[in-house]
Amino acid sequence: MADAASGSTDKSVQVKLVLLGEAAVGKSSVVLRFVSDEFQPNKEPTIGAAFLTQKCRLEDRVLRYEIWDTAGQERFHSLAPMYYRNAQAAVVVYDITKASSLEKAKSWVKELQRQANPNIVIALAGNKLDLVQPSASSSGTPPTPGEAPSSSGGESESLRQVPREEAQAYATEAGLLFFETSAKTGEGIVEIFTEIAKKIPIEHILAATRGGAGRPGAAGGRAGNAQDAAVNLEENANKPKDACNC
Amino acid sequence: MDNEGIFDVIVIGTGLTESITAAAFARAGFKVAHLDENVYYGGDEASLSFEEYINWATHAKDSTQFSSISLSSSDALPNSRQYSISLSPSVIPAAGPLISSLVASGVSRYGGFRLVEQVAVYSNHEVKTVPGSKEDIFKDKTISLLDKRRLMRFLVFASGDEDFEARTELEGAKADMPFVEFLKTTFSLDQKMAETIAYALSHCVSPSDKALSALRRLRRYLRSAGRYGHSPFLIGQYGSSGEIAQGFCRTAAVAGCVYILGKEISSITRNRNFDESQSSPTYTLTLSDFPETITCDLIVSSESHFPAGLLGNIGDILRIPPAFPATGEETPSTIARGVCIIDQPLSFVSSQESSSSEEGDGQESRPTLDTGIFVFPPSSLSTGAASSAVTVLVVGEGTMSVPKGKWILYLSTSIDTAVSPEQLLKPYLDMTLSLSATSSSDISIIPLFTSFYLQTTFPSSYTTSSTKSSLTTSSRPDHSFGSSLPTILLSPAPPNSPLPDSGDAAAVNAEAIFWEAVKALKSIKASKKLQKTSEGQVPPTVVREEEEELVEIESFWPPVVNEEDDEE
Repeated sequence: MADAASGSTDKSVQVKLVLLGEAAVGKSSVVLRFVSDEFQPNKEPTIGAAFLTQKCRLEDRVLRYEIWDTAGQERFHSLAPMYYRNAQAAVVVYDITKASSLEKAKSWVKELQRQANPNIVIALAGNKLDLVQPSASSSGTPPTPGEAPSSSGGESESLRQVPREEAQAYATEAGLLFFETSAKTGEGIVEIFTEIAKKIPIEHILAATRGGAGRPGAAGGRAGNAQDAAVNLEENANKPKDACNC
Repeated sequence: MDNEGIFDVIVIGTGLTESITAAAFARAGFKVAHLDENVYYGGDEASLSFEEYINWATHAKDSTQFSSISLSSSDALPNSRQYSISLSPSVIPAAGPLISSLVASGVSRYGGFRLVEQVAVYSNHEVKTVPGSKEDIFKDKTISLLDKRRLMRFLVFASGDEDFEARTELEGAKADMPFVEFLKTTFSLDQKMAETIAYALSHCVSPSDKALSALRRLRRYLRSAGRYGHSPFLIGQYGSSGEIAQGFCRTAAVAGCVYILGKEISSITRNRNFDESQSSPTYTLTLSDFPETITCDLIVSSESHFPAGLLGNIGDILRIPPAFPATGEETPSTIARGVCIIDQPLSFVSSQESSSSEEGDGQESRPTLDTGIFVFPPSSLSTGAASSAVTVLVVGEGTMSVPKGKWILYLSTSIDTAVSPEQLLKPYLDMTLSLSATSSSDISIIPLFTSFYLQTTFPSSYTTSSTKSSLTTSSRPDHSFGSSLPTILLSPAPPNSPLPDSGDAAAVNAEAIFWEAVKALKSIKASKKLQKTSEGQVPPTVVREEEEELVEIESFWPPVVNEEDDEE
């Protein structure tokens, strides 16, 4: 991930993707399912990592997702502006068994449209689909440290509080990609990321990062002409100081 | 999750120092809550959008630290959100404690950094770029051969490995001699050269800055050059300090730290049975407009954000003495600051210099500047009244802190007389804008926006004697706790230090707080354990695993967990 600029070695395009949504809707589970299951079945997810990375192959090109989880900072509305910066994609998650979580998702979408890169690709994901399907029990993983416990646990279609049609209508109106997912069974998860990949303006990102800007986000369209002065701190971290100019 | 509101440490204030501290606590495995009454991160070092800056200027008017705030206009500029205006403009030496912490903690991955392209100095009515390397000095046609030799001799001395104290050059009382005088008498450098070294290389603040401290600073800067490029200094994107603070906060959050912003602390209660039974948490905090109470064993707070009204009824406060700058190095208590936004590029290359370097290129325009520092040595500008050096930090699009085609100029100077910051700094701003105008007509650039204010170091009630006694207390063997065990640590306020030093000060001070806090927490936990053992029973309160085992903490930053790069 040090080579965040353009992944010149394998022609992959680095894409920063942020997760948003009310606490305990399954944001982390969605990303863990995507990152550890589909591509690296035996890999334990790195807990406490700055962000998770996962490649996504799409026809002739490879996207390298840099996935940022809220790390619980959304719980008391304390997400830092840094979180949104240069994000080219966002997955806004709600819980289909909790109507209020869709309302929260809508406010996150508004926040993204206000704060984030205007070209950001946003996907809305209604998670915990397994809870409204037969023989389900719970959708999974324990909540992020510092998050409220999940209110899940139930077994029938009556648990559904957000009709698919309602969410779909909202997504269409707001110009979002829409999926119902289950992090537990894996249903719909990979689709989110491949559909986002199709919608990301890759050529635009490549053009913007070609100058060698330090971060993928230089793709925001503000890459200047003086990008050669950008520095990757880790790159030269162990460089002996014999290079001293004095 | 029934112990949700129970923390080991509560950190108050999200300034850079506190944010680094919070990240270190969380990474060391402590349960941490981090609070800030502001809705934004960064405290007094925040990076604000244009709108937020106007808002801040309007509200900071009644604070003790910020005064005489003026705004040329409070009308929003277009693309307000694309500005990151820093309340603590600074640059970062490439080989200092802040960069070390950024790399060791992994926070460097969150932010972009770039080199400061150029340092220039105002001298005899013109701009002179400051040579950044030996090569530059050799090539410089404006320096005589004799002066070059003197300069090289000085630089070899300054960048050497030997302690300055051991050098004959500093014998006698020369360590306390004003730096410019020292350079002139000991290295036979002329006034102009000495001033350039003192103010543009060593970033001295005033003519009274002492030789030894200036030399130590210069050595750190000289050793920073070449690490990431020719410039010794880096600047963080999106307003540097404020963004870096956010990076540390995110790292803390990833390690489990809970963030609550925009809530005022309405009460801090020391637990009543604290002295008899230490098995309960030391403090209970309530926040306004927040349903839950939160508890902790230890509070770490920036002094300026600690709710002062609550200070009276709670004891055992330890003010962490500033570990940086080193004792004896004085920093000015008040500085005048200016913020100016322009929409035309600056150039700090004097006309002769550019024409000599572009032989035959005819009417090539002068190279424009994205990021640079421009210094007015004291008394160098006849129309200006500043008795100290005036520094202008220019940041452009490359720092991602302005929209395309805009630049922010941050002016600062230390101030010891009662004069309006605008009155004091305006002549320097005007000169900067007229000197570096790049258009052929050489008409001065008209600013889109200007703002001026005074910043006073938070008046610390810290005294040497009280600190010493508290330090003695906390360095006692862990089990012999007393009622004077410090349970509130106040971090030193960011010093009004030279442009390149505030970030390093934050990193060094954060580490000092960290170790002090670890000592205190260990002591508290050990005494709780002792209590339990002597009572022969487990108290009915929530027992956490961490209480049973005191993990040995060996380093400020534990090794970074590296995500494996998936191979192709």
